[in-house]
Amino acid sequence: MKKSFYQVDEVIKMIQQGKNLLLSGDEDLLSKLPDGNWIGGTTPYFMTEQGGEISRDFIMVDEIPDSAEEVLCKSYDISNIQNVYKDGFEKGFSIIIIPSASKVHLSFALNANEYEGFATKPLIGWISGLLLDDLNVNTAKTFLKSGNSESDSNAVVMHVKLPSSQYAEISIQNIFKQGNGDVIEFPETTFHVNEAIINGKIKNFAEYVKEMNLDLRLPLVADYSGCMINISFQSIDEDKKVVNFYAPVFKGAIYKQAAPIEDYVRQFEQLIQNEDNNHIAFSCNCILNFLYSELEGKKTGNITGPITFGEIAYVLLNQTMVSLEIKNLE
Amino acid sequence: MMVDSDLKNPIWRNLVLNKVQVNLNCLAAKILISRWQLALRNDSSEKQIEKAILELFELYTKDQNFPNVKKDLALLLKN
Repeated sequence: MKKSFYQVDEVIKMIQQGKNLLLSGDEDLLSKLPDGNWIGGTTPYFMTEQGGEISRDFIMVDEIPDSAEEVLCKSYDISNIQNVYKDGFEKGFSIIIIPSASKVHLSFALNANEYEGFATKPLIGWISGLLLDDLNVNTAKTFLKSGNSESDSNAVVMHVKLPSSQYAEISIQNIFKQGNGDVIEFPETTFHVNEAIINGKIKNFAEYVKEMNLDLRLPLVADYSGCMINISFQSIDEDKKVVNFYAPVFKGAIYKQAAPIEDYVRQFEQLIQNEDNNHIAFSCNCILNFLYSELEGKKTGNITGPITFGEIAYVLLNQTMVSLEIKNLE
Repeated sequence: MMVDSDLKNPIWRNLVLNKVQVNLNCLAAKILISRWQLALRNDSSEKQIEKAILELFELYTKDQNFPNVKKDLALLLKN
């Protein structure tokens, strides 16, 4: 299996060799890196060749294939994030990293489907995070081409041009399916839900969650033309009777809570075992999967990558693995 | 090979208006279709429907050489 976890000195050498790199790791390590063709995001959680790991000592590296004809690294703030699709190469793909809880994170989550060129070019990526114990004392960061570029507000994107003989394909590996429970809709698009429409009747959603004793590890799932999209529970504010999510629920979408999972690791292995993983250029998996399924020390097949505070496959996702493959056109 | 006249195929309208369910392979198309199905529930003017159809058609035209897209076009245009 390809090695992906490196010491800082090794990554410095790769950057100095002119490689185009996607990096994930601790803020202190990423800030030591020299200028070059790289973007990075913070996380201390990883799926390595040895299994799930928490580390502040290594950097995870994904290298853009040598076949890439052109690479453009750019940062986006709240004023221009809507151009992320428009700016991509016609033939290629883009990889985005967004700091968790930033305004760009929230804006992308709510508005990506309105961006010019939405879904017309492959866009994959992740939400950068930090050690859960540090959530109240630090912020997630991104880095653009330099260890001096850290930002907790800007998204960073690597736009990659591929030769006409290749194409990029994004896939979502989601072990969750809609369960057989109530049909749930929402009167507005929001991260913070007050009312829901349960089987056609309006109810306070926090009260509904409590009455039904819902397992909050199981996300709400919407069926997007056969693609299952999760919305993960974050917290319930009992005083305000508001349910908070890690991604927005959308007005008009039909949700059901996910069916329970008996053995997460086994489910994942079954999901990916029949796929040809030799062309995977990048993959990431959700921190909630890491925690709820106790992935530390366990493997998800032979797929490695950062463990993230949200995934992006055209839109913001929760509790999924996403993968980018570079394939040859026949 | 997609041609301009394929734009007139009613399948595109049926997809964005959720009048037909097709087991598609292209992830981008699934997400784009769902985006438009939601949007058209709020505004189903002919102008919006035509915009949705055109975006979907252009996506499939642009990527028509990709294997998953070829599979979808075989399903969508078979009639």
